[in-house]
Amino acid sequence: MMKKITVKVNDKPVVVPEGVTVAAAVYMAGETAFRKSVSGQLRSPVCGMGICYECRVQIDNQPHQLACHQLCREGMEIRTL
Amino acid sequence: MTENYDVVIVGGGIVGAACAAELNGARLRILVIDAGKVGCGTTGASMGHIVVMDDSEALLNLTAFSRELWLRLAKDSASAYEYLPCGTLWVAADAEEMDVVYQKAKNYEEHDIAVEVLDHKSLYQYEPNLAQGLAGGLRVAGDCVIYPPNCAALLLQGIEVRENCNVCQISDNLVSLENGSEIHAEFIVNAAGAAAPKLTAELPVEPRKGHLVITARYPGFCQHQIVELGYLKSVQKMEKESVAFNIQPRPSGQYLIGSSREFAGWDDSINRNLVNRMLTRACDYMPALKEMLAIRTWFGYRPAPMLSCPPPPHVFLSKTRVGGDAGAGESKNGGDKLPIIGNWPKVKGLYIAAGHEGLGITTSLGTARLLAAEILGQSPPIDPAPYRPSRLFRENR
Amino acid sequence: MTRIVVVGAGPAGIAAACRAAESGAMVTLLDGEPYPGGGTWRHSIDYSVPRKAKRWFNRLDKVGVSLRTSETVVDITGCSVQVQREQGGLDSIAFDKLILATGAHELFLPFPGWTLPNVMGVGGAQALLKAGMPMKRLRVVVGGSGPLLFAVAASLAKAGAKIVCVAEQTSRVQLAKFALGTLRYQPARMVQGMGYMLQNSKVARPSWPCFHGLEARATFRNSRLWRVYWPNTWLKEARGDSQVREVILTNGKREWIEPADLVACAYGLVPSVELAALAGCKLSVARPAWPCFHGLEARGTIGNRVVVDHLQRCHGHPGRVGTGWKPVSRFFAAGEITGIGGTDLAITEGEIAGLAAAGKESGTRAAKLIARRERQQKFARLLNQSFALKPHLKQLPADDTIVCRCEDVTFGELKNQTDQRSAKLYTRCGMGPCQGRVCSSALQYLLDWEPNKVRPPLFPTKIGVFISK
Repeated sequence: MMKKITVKVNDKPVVVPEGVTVAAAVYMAGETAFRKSVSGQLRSPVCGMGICYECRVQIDNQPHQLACHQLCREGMEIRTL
Repeated sequence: MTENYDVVIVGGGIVGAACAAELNGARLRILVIDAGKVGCGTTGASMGHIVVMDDSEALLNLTAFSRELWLRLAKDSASAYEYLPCGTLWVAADAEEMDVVYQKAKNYEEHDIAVEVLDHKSLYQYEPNLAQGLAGGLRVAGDCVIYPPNCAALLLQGIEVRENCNVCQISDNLVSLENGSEIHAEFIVNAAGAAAPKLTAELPVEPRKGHLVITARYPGFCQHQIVELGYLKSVQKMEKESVAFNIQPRPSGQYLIGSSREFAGWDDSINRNLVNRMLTRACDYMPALKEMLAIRTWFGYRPAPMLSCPPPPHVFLSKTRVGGDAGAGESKNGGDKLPIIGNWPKVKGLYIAAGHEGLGITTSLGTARLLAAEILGQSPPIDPAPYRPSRLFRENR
Repeated sequence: MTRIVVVGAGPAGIAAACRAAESGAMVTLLDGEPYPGGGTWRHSIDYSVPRKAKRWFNRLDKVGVSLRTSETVVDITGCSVQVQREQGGLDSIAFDKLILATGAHELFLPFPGWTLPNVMGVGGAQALLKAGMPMKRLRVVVGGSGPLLFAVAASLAKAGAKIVCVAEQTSRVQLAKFALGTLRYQPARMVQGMGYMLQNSKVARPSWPCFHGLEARATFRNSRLWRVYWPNTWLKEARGDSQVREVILTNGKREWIEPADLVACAYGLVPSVELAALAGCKLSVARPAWPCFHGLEARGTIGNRVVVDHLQRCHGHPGRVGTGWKPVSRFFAAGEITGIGGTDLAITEGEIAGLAAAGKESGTRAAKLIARRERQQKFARLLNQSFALKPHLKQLPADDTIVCRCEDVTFGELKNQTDQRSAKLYTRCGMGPCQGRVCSSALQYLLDWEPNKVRPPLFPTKIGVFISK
């Protein structure tokens, strides 16, 4: 049985299995948009492997973090858009 | 087959483009030739900072005059030029540099350039992300930033341009191309930047490589183009390698970080050590830069004028440590460090618009006015004497 | 002891690291992702990796390779690589020999609506699925080209997604050739492929009569995946509001709409050669395999690939990087970066590179591997020829379709430019954090533009990390 941890996505607590990526946590929180493009369009991950940079979110107040690369940690605060 | 034009400008960078635009109104058949795409050489690598510099009276006149022309030009089509009226903030690290600030303020005010002397308190009110412990600064609100590659292209609108075309020789009223054809012109302008000496062998211009780093987007980090006063020293001292802190906010929310200077010929690799030094210096002045992502590094070759004639007395700066040294033990002192603008007496019909070092973008418009005035026989807008090529032949050193 | 650094812990890198370590070298294996495996053997939170992968992972554990994950190579100078660590800081790792196994990334061809949320790559969808993205009940349209399409569709179906269709741009004839060729060269893969096709899945089945085409097929019934596998079909447009809601598909003669909560679309793979380019390794412009019926070899696909000799050694240009760097005998490349060819070929190339880097290239083992590679390259050629991209895909983007996603530069702004570099300076295309990886592959296909010169850092790097060296 996988251990569960709690992270916050846009201030909303989400329980996720340990070892999932931040991207997965964002989807589990019911969000589909990760960031806004330079002209304001909604965007979400494309490549899933750290190439496209469309999955950038704010993690613990640090901007431009790749959600597809980062693994969730207990208490992590994730902010989209 | 020989073609005929009234004016051929070799070099479609910002200087060549400005000259073409200036001469375009005079009903002349103009051709601009570039070895690549216009605005994609040194112009494309540059910062686009429009700044008044007071190293010497002549430089102050040229940069102030040019800045005025930029303000008039860019204001009307601000978005096309990506015009950003951010101003320059010269930062003084200590009391000694504050003395320079006061002197600079005096110089600028004497030439009707509005400035604001900042003390310790007001410095941080304007730029709270500067490192603690700085003494103050000088704010020049009229300075601004434009985006050079598009500016060059815009200036060349409506003008005949030949890209990806190499010129191999300029002789009396004749431009010879690598493909064998020739172009006859009454007026030829060598505006080929750091490559200008390849066509006019006696031009004392050498490539002075400079690196830049651009960050990801972090809106609101700084508002001004911030430059340390040591920048002046870096320009003037002809050291093999030097760095000086310089940061520019881009309209995109990214930050351009500079600056470095090195004499490395046409070496086309990133000098990691120098970039490291440059970024370290930048982080000394703005520690929060350490947290920013650097997306790319690149470099350009400034066309540095390496004159052997003596510099005019540096009245403004002779008392301070950032004044021009006479090159004690280092490589050539570079002379008056002014661009070379005007008729080149040794070749019929040839005019030079070269050697602008790190001020090509700023002084391009002023250069164009001076050159056009000489070509068209009009009265010059400012005294052209300090920039004339003839000064190179005056004293043989 | 020879110090060997292997960059990329996918099948090629793992194979190289194992062989090199077993041959007595001191090996460091680097990967920027949190887990090894690359694309093909990607770590999954729910499903196990293939048996072959497990065997190699076990072998890797046993041979004493220093495996460093979440460490991204951002620069290479002289005889060391500079890595940025996920937790912060820069490290300089010296090497006597470097093996590049940086793999491939997907080719995303822009089409109207491709930037909507929930439109992603095919490998991208699989990567996100494996990382924990919930797929249950999502209506998925899979599109693009390549054997990855049905593999990923099967994975998604297994995870509870409803597969609307799998739209493969290549033709039935090419697919038949591919099937026959796979049977001949890689029968095991054939079995695997058939397994995917027979995957039980909730698939969209037509409501009768369907030949009028324009009605949305909203009924999902349990069936096999092959029933919704449509060759000669591609995505024309994705539509939606805050995310994709429906797609327009076409077979060149007619168009129709399908519902979609998620679109997984990519047109094959492109070698990831940035590190190789920065290191000064010789790259070859891979020509597209079209027209392939003349039998023109299509060893490469879209994109540039690293040129290697029979021992997987790179070709270098002296003096390109930093100071004190000596070319050729120090640099090896294996796997997809030498040309897209599948996992088995990648493993073989990795083994050869590992042996050669450790000085064991003259043994019988190496000779056997070289022979094996010859056979596997035949499959690779078949793979590239069968899924060669049809020229009409160049018509996919409209003028207002975004090509550079980082800077929102449209196709209309780019199509009148002449080359990647000046287009970048004039339009900002390629100036964003992806450093042109996504857009330049597409532009290489759409407009035949060569990618820009690679400069450090290879990935966006914290300035503080830069100056800590």
